[in-house]
Amino acid sequence: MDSKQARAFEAFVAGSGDGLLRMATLLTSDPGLGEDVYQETLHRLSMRWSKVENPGAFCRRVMQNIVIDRVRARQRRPPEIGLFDTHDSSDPRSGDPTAAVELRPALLAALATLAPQQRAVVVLRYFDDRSEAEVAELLGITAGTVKSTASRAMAQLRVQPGLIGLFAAAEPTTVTTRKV
Amino acid sequence: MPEIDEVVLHDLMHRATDDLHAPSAVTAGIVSLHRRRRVRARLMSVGATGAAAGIVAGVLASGNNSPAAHSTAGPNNGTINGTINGTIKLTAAQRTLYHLSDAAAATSRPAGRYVVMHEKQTTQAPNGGEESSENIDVINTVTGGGLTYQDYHGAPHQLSDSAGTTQAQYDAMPTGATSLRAFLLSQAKQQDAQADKIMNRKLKQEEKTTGHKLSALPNPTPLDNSTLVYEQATYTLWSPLLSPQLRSALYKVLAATPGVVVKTGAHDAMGRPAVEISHWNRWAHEYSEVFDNPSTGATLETADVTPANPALHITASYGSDLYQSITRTNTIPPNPYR
Repeated sequence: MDSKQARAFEAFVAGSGDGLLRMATLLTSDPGLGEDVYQETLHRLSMRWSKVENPGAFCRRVMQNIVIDRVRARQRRPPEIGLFDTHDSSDPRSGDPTAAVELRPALLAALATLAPQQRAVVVLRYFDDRSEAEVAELLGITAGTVKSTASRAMAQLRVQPGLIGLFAAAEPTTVTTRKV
Repeated sequence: MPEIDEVVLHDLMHRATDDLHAPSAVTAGIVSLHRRRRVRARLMSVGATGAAAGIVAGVLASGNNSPAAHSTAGPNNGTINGTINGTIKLTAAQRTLYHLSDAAAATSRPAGRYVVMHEKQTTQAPNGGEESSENIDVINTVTGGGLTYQDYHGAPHQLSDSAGTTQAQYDAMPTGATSLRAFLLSQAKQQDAQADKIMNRKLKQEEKTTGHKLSALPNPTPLDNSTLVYEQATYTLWSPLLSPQLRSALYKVLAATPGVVVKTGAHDAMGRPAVEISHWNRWAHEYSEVFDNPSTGATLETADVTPANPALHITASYGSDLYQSITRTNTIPPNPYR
């Protein structure tokens, strides 16, 4: 990577880095692992920078591959305790219960119950706002598979203990039953 | 309410992660890593990679401008040297480069389809800390592509590049100093134009995808022909795929190119005797150094040294690629880091 390419690479990361890191966190259900995946994705992108036509698409595809590899590797290791497990809601710094740090544990725990491909479909569809066709192309599956996978994933998420209250809140008739 | 649930999930995923920000150190680390590898990257993808404005490896001192002592010793090829009163004058730096040219011409290229290079990369970070890592490059002389085996934190253990400059392509390059200089200059300009196109297209595409305006690349600083020739010559010189004739000719090209500093009696980071060739890159604000084997002309180490410049908010840094060994083989060696 030469100086000009380095500047273009930095410009790309400046514009897209936050989104990629957030996507990696959701895809892995783990902020620490997400940061590793983000770093490795950028590293792979940098190695191919001069040949990659669409860096954003390249990152999404590569990220998913890395996540699958990492998840498999992690399954062979003892579970680690994530930071969110030690979150103390009595800590005055906790702030607004709907703030990111409060929402994230429940969301990541719910996403963690999904299979890697289900998680990828959900994140690409509903976080990254990709169409079914785009998700299909990125993941190398059919649009029909995207649709059915998303549907099953949503059904599973709706019954996750940490998300039930939130989903219910979206339904006007059940607002009063919202658990806080 | 499936659709509403999807909207809720969308909102939830964004709210649950909007405090996460990409650490800039990651980008800086990757760019730093690549600065050290840029010579190789350039060679591995010469067709698609542009000659960036301001990338230089080693150069030589100008004949007429050099404070070095003059000599009346004649070069092997006088067509590219300046003459004074009909007598060819060489600086000490030029004489050293002609010695390297002769030394390179006297070598023979080893047999074997794959070149195996053991490298050590060292970076001194702006905070003063130093980081080293070792890797192995396996270059396929037929395809120009290759593999990199590495054990670098957060990076894959193996990287591959399917194409690059092949040995046959190097062999097709001219070996006359004048024609080689013209070839290198033309190649540099073509690659620069190509790089500009690729970079601009890539940024526009990303802007379209993300909806964010990305910082535009400033117009590249126009580089003079001599600087472009320096770049191309030293990028090419690095490759272990060169024929002795081409390596020899490259030193003659450098000997005729103004702006270089040559030091004899130097040593590389392993303590091996070396000739140090360096050049100040005014665009990148750094010294680019090459340490070459005085007996063979092979490159032992490349380094970039950035001195601190508080006025430009530049902190001192250092990075080097040390080529610990270069061998040839007909089989791809296994990856020891897996």
